[in-house]
Amino acid sequence: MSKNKNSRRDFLKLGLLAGGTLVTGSMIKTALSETPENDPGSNIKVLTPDGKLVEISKASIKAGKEYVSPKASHQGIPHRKFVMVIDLSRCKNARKCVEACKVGHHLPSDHEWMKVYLMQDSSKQSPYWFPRPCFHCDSPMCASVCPVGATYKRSDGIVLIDSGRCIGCKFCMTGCPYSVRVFNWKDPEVSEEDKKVKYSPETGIPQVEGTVGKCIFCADLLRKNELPRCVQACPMGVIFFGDIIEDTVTNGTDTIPFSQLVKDRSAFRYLEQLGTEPSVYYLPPTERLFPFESGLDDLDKKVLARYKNTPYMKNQKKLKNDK
Amino acid sequence: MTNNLEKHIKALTPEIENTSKSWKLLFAVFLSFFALGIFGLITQITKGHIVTGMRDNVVWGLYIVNFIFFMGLSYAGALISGVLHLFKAEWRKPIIRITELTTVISLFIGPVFILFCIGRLDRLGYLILYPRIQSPITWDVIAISTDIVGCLIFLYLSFIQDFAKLRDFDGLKVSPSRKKIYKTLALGYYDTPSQRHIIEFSKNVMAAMIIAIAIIVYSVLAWIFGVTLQPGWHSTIFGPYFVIAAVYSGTGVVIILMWIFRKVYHLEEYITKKHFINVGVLLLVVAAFYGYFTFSDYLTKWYGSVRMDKILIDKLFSDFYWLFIFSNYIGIIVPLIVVGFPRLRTIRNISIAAVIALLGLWVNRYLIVIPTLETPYLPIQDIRPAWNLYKPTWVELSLTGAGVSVFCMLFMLASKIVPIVSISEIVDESEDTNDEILLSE
Amino acid sequence: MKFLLSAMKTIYIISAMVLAFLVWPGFSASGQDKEKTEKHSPILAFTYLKNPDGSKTLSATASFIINRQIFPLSYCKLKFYCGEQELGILTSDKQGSAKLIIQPAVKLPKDEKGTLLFRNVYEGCDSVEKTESSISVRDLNLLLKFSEKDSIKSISLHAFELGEKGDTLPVNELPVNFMIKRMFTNLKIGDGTTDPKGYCSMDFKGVFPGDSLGNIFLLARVDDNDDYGNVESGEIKKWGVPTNPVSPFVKRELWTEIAPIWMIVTLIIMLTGVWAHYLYVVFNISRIRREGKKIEKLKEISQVEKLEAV
Repeated sequence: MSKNKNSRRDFLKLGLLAGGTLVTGSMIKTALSETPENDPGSNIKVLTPDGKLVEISKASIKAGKEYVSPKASHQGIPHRKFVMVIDLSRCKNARKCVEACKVGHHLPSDHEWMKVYLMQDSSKQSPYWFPRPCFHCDSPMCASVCPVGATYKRSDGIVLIDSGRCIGCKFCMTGCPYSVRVFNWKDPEVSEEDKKVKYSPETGIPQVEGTVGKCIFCADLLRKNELPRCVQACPMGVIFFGDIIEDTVTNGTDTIPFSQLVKDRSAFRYLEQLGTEPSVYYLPPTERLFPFESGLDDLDKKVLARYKNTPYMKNQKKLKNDK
Repeated sequence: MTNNLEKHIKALTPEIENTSKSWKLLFAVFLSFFALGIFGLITQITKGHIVTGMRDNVVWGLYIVNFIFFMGLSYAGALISGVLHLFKAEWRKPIIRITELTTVISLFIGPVFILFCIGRLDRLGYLILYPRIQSPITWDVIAISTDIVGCLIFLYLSFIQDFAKLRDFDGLKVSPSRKKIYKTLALGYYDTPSQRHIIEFSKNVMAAMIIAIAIIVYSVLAWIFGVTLQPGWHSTIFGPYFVIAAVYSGTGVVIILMWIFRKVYHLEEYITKKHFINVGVLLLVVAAFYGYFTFSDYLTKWYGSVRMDKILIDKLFSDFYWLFIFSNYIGIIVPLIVVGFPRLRTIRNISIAAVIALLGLWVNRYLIVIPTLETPYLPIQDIRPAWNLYKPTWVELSLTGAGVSVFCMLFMLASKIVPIVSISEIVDESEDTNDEILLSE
Repeated sequence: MKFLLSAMKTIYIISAMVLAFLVWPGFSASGQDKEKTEKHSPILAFTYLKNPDGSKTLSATASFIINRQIFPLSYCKLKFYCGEQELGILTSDKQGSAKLIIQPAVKLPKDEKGTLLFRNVYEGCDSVEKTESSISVRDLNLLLKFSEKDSIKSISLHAFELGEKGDTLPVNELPVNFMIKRMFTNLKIGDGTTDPKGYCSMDFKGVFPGDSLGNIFLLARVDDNDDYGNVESGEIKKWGVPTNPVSPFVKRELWTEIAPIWMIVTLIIMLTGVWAHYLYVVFNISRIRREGKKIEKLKEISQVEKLEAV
C-alpha cells in the first residue's frame, strides 16, 4: 500500500518535471514500478573471477561517507583548497548553471544560489554576463559576523551554513558585499520526500524557514570527487573548478593548470579592493565566443524582466524608441 | 514642614491613590494599539517573515530602525541624570525621575524590536549557548544586558528614598499590602547620615558607570553597521556619530515628556520654563554637534565620490529627497533657531522643536539603514521585481505603533506606583534652597 | 435591449460549456490512445574502460528525451553480456546508470579475431522500447616504465596484445596521452605514438604539485580508440613537488571559532570593571538594609520600653 503511494507521488512529481505532458505519464509509472526500497545505485557490482556478481558499496571504493553531519561538516576535505575560475568570454547567459543548482539543491522555486548578472562597468564599456556563485572568501565577512557560528569556513576553503544553528539575524547578509546570501522568508515548500532527508550543511537539503542559504560549492559532490553542479551543467564550459594545491582546474572537458590559466588570461577577482580574498577568479570577457546580445535570446519573460532596470537595457529601449 | 511634604507627595503622586477616568481611557487606547501589534506579531510568526517588507536585499527594515531609535532614547537617563548628577546641576532634580524612567523603559523596548527581526526566535538561546565573541551582535547582547542592569540599579537607588517617604507618610491612602511593598522596597532607609552618604556615593558611582556603558552600547550598535563593507555604513565616524545622535534623541524625548507630564499632571509648579530652557540649550549644543557629524560624514562621502558612495548619495538626493531634507536639514536647523534666539524660547516652541528633532532623528535612522541596503555592490537584478525596494508593511507598522504605545503604557503604569518626580530630591531642594519652589509661585 | 444582450450572453456561455463538455472526454480519450500506441525509444550510453589494475569497468546509462529534456530511466534492469555469456543483471540507480567491474582474472569469451563483444540490453517496458548497445574491443596491455638518469625523468610505455600462447604482440602507431591523475579529471602533460615495436616514451618536465610527500599518480591513457576503447595504466611516483597547505585558520582570526586574544582580554577587562562596580553598589545597598534593620530593632525596643513605662 505504502509502496503504491510512493510510486504514485513520484509519478506526479516526474509528471511535473516533464513539463506537464500527460503523454509521458504511464511510461514513467511503469519505469518506476520496479522502485526498490533502497537505491541500489549506491552500490557497485563487481564480477569475481569465478563469475559471481558481488556488491560493494560505493562508499568503500570512494573516499568519504554518504552522510556528513553538521558537526562533521566543519572539517574540510584534507589537503584540498578549492578554487573556481569563471571565463566571462564564454558565458552567454544560457542559465543552465542556475537551473542545475536550483534542481540539485532542491531550492524553493524563486531561490537562486547561482545568479547571472548583466554587468556594464560604465556606459562606454561593453556589457557582459557575470555568473556569480558564492566567492568562498578566505577572509569571509559573513563568518566573522555570525553571532552563533552557524556559518563557518573550512580548511578546504568552503564556507558553509548550518541551518540547524542559524538564528536568522541576517547579519551575514548585510556583511556579504556580493549579495550572495538568500533568506527563507517563508516556508521553503519542502517536498514530502525531502522532509525525510537528514539535513546536512553539505547538501543544504532541506532548506529551513527563517534561515539563510547560499552556494556551497556542492560540498556533497566534492566528497565523491565530482564537480559542482553548475560546472557540470554549463554547456559552454564557462566554469572551471579545481584544487589550488594541486594547481589544476577543469570545466569537465578541458583540464588546465590553474596558475597557467590565471597567467595567460589575466584573471582578476571581483572587488579585490575589499580584501575579502575570494576563491573565485574571473577571466575578462575578451575575444568572446558569443556576442553579448545572444544572452538575451530565448529568455523567459520573467528572467528578462530582471534586467529591465540595468543601464544597458534602458539604453537599448531608448535607441529602439528613437528609431 | 510636614504640610509641605504632604503637599509635595500629593502633587507628585497623582495616580497612586486612585485612578482617574482619563487615565483609564488613554490606557485603553494604547492597549488597543498594543493588541494590533500583537496581532501583527502573530501574523508574522505564523506566516513567516514574508509578511514584512524585508527582502533579500533590504534584510533589515523598520524593526532595526526602531531598535536604534529606542536605544537612543535611553540616552535621556544617561545624559540628564548621569552627567547632570556628576556636575551637581541642581535644576535637574524635578526631571531626573522622568529621564531615568525613559532610560529603563526604552532599554526594554529597544531590544524587543531586534527580536522581531530574527528569523528563528526559537533559537534565541543559541546567542548565549554558542556565542562568538568576534561578532558585534554578541558585543551588543553583552553590552545591552549590562546596560539594563546598570540602569535598573541606578533607578532603584533614586527610588529608595522615595519609597521611604511613601512608607513613612501616613496621609497616603493606599491598601496595606501596597504600604508593605513600599516598606520592603525602602530597605529600611531612615535617612541617617551614614545611609544618606552611602546612597549619594553609590549614585555617583553608578552615574559614572552608566555614562561609560551608554557610550559603549551605542558605539557597539554603530559598529554593527560600521564593521561591514557596505557603502554608507563602513565609516569610522559611526561610533561617535551614533552616540551624539542618541544624546540628541534622548534630550528631545525628555523635553517632550516634560511637556506632557507638566500638562497632564499639572506640575507647572515643579517643571518650569527654566527647565525647558536649560534642557533646550542642551538640545541646541547637541544639535550643533549632531549636525556637524552628519555634515562631515556625508561631505567626505560626496567629495571623494567613490563609485558606491556616489550612487548612494545620488539615491539619497533623489528617491529619499524629502526624507533627507527633513531629517538632516529641518531636524537640525529648527532646534538651533528656536533655542538659539532667546525671544523664541517659549515652552511651546522648545517642545515643538524637540518633536521635530525626534522625528528627524527617526527618519535619519531610516536613511542610514534602508538606502544602503538598496545599494549593494552588485546591482539588484532580482527575479522578483517587487523585492527590489523596501516598503514597510502593516505588520511592521503595527509593531512600531505597539512599541510606542508600550512606551506610553509603561510610563502610565509607573505613575501609578511611584512618584513621577523624585520627592526626596524636591524636598531636599526646597529645604536647601529655602523653599525656592514656593517662592517661585 | 439590455435584457436581450444579457440573454444572448447567457446562451453563449451555456453553449460554450456544452461544447467543452462534449469535447473534453473525447480529447482526453485520444490522449490516452496516444499514450498506449506511442513507445519511447531510450538512449543507452555504454562505455568501456580498462583500469590501471587490469580490471575492466563497463558503465551504462539509460535515459530518454521529452521536449529536449533528458530524463534518466531510474531503477531499470540492465543486462550485461560478453558475446553470448551473461555477465549479470544490474538495476540502474536514480541517475539511470549502472556500473560493472570485471576482475582481471575473469575469462571472457573472445571471437576468432580475439575481439571482445560487450553488450548491454534494456528489455523495455509498456511504454519504453527495448534497446541494446554494444562495444567491441580488443584487450590491450600498457606497461609503464619510469626511469631517472642525471636528473632527467622519463616515462616509457610498451603497448601490446597477448597472443594465444601468452606471447606479446606489439601495437604500432597507437596514440597515447600521458597524464597526471587529479581530483576530478586527468591533467595532460604530454602525448606520443608507439613505434613498430610498441614503444613510446616521453621526458617528464615541469613542476607539478603532488601530495605532502610529492607523490603524483602518473597515467598513460589510450582514449576512445577504435580497436581498444579506453585503456589506462599508471603508477604513483614521487615526481611531484611536495605541498604543504597552510591552514587558512592562522591567517585571520575573526572568522575562526575562538576569538583573537586581544578581543577576549579587552572584553574581560571591561566586563570585570563594570560588574565589579555594580557588585560594589549592590553591596552598599545591603549595608543600608543592615543599618535599617538595626534602626527598626531599636525602634521596637524603645516602643516596648515605652509600653513598659506606661
